[in-house]
Amino acid sequence: MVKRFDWYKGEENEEKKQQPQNPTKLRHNVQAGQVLVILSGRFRGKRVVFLKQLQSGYILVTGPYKVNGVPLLRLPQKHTLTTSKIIDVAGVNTDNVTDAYFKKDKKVKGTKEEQFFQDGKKKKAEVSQEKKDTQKAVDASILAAIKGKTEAKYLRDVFTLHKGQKAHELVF
Amino acid sequence: MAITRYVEPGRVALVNYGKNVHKLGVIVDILDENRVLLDGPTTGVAREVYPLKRLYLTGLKVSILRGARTKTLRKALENNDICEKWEKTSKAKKQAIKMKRASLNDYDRFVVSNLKRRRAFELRRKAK
Repeated sequence: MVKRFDWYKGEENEEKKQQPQNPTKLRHNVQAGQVLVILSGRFRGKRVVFLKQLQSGYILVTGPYKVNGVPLLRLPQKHTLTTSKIIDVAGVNTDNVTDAYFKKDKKVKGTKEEQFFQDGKKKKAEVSQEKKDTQKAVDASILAAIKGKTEAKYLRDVFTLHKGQKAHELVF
Repeated sequence: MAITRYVEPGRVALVNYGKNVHKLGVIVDILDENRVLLDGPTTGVAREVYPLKRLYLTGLKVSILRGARTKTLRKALENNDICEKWEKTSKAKKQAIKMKRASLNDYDRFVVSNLKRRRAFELRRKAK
């Protein structure tokens, strides 16, 4: 293949990075407020609330954080299981949560001497106040909608297969 | 104990397996020691040959002649209210429970397990 040269590299090319040509097609029965089960990763088994699909094709979900410890999370749709439970998310505004929200900050490395003296201790990752505020703002209306109801306990519960249960025979 | 539920024309049977599973049919004729002709006009079971292994014989019976036609059978079933008699039996009730449990979705299953835990908690509390 002939190498393409970006002679006229302008602003348009910068935005295209986050937009894949064929973004993942959202499952037909998924809508805002749907409860999904996370199947892999740190939060596997947790039931979370689906918010929206991001530009890159990933899905945006939240625990809510106060309920089950899952923050605003970006997941591939494939790593989730759709249940038929829908939670009211009428008052939720996720306009300011995009792929840029999940961009990792570049680690500031100290000099080699500083690293040596740290004895390999890792600094605990701190969550910025901005992210905490966004989390609170997004979760507020969801928490109000499920307060005191069985839905709150349901989201706190972790999904597992029990004895005698067969995944292909379960209805979700 | 002696056998009381005979394979005979008029014996109401429950289909155990296949596309008509959980439905009632009536034995109309007997082919050999393994197969019977089953018909269930009021329950949507087409007149077909079924192996006995796929059937569960109930205690209900209709009086029809061997090889009775679907129309005659339908009249006999409706006159005897077989479907209503079946619904009252414990087998039918157990089947309904089993089917209900299989159809529960994820949230329903959680609600059930939550209620069970609360009940167990209350019983333990009262036992003290």
